[in-house]
Amino acid sequence: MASPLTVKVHPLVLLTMVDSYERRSKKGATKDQALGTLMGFYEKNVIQVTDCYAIPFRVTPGGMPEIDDAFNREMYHAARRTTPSEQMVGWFFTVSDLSSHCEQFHNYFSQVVSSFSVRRDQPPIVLLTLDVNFTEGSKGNLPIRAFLRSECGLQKQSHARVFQPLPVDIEGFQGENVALDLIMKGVYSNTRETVLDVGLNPIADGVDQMIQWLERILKYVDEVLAKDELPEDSTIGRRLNEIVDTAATLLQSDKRDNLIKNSLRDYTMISYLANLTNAQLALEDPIIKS
Amino acid sequence: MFRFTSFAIMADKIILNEAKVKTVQLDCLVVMKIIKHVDSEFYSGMSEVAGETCAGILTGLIAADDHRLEVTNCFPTPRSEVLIEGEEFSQGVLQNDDGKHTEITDMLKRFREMNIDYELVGFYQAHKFGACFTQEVIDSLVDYQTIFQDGVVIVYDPVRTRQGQVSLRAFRLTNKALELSISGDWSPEAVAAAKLTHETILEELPVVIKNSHLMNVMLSQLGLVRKTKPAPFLELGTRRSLEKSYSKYVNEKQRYDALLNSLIQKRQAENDQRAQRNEPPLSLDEIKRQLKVPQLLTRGGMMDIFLNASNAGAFANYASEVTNENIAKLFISESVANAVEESHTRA
Repeated sequence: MASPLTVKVHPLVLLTMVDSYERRSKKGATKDQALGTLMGFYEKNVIQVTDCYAIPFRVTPGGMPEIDDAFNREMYHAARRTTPSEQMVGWFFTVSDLSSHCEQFHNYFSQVVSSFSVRRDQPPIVLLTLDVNFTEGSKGNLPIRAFLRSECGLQKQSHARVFQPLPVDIEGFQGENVALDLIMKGVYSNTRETVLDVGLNPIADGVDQMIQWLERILKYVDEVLAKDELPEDSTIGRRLNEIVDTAATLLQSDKRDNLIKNSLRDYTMISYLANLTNAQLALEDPIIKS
Repeated sequence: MFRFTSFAIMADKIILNEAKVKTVQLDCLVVMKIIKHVDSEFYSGMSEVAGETCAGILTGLIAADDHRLEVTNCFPTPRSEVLIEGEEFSQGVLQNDDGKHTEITDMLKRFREMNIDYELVGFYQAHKFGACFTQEVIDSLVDYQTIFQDGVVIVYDPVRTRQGQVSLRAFRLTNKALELSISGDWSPEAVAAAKLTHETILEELPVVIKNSHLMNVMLSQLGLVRKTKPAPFLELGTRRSLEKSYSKYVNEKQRYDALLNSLIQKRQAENDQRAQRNEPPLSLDEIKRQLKVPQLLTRGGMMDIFLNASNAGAFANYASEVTNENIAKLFISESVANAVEESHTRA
């Protein structure tokens, strides 16, 4: 039975998971694994995961998994104080396959969540896994999977519990998307660094990107017209029509001239005033000193 | 903002070494965390309610040979007014300075357990339009910089970022400003002696963002998966924020002017009274009192003036930068429209 839930993960969560994996303890049975709690909020049919933090855990030699509960609770309270809109929605584990330990961890987390939540009886708890072992199957990717545990069985008797996979989407707040774009530029540099860029350069970059997109669209349109075999995607055709229409109407010469003139006037006025302020500030320094 | 009152300065004179750090390096995780914290507060409308800007602590380490301050992690600090939800919290709990202090040390302890760098290297704050020059920020910076020379404050401007450019800047107090703050003496004479202007109180440090290799893998994967949402900064309609920032800086400017005028007038009055003393004497005590009053008022006054000046300057800079960008956008759109017209007339 497919559940209609989708999991929307914010990029910060993934980055924190990678970071806590990099700082994992290198000894004991918990080698190469990081575990932690996910925070977020519930929306209609969607679980938004917006934050997470790692917690210490171990697997005793006897095979029993243990989690530092006090740590978890303290971090949870600290997180609640800073962002009251978030609540615990699940946990993450950097492992490639689910094992029996996962079942026990999941039990622990269901207990904690129900002890904290006041409204419903049991909000759905999500398990997020990140496979950091570059095995053959993943083709150099870091596959992210989300699971929901549900009862399953025959004839309304629950025989077992199954971890059902859920679709994962990556989504972010507006500012997060912008920051992500910036950080991703570091992927291409040799020293893996980016310098913050202000002023006119981002506009130049944006325009370049737009030109690239336009060229791609042109190529696509040409191909479709030329070959006649490719399926014509009517939605794209409609969108293009819309764009051309708006361009034609809005960019009519007289309207556009007016718009440009007025805006230019406003902007130059503001720029003048701002420079005036700066000049005045600079002037007053010697007055103060005298 | 909180103060580390428990780390009270014992010595009267502190030997301030030259700060060893020339650039600030942020891990991409820190960037995302700061932005997420501030944005989620905006999203749920909390920053309007609480009236206190979002802030947090930065942790990391100093790479002395490279003159870099590496910030590897951060965490948000709770606000003093707590929105109550659920039965766990008692009503109306206000956290005082000590409470905040213990929270921070607890968090640092937990960082140590999780192998995260737990050394405090500074703090971050969110300010609209980049006008970050408040008394509390300066006080906190003084505290940090007296404990370890290389503390910085990272100012994040969410409005600018929404328009498409991530605005994260790192500041710290210059040495001269630090000395003055420690001695607590902000009278005009001392300031003139130290040759400080409002621009030289804080110095800005260049910021660099660094990713680790695994992060790079993750980011490149994210790049493929994400539905591309182009940032809205190519829009032409940014007038609303300009209006807001303009009105803000007008207010700031007026306050600054008023303060400056009052200061100048007081000094004039002081001079006049000094001249009068040479003439037939009034009772000395009365005159001394009158002489003292203008002094006292300007003790903290110089600092305020500077701060207001810096704020006004920040607003002005913001406004001018944004207008420059918008003018550029206008020209671009004009050339596009011209090209379109030409193609129409040709076809």
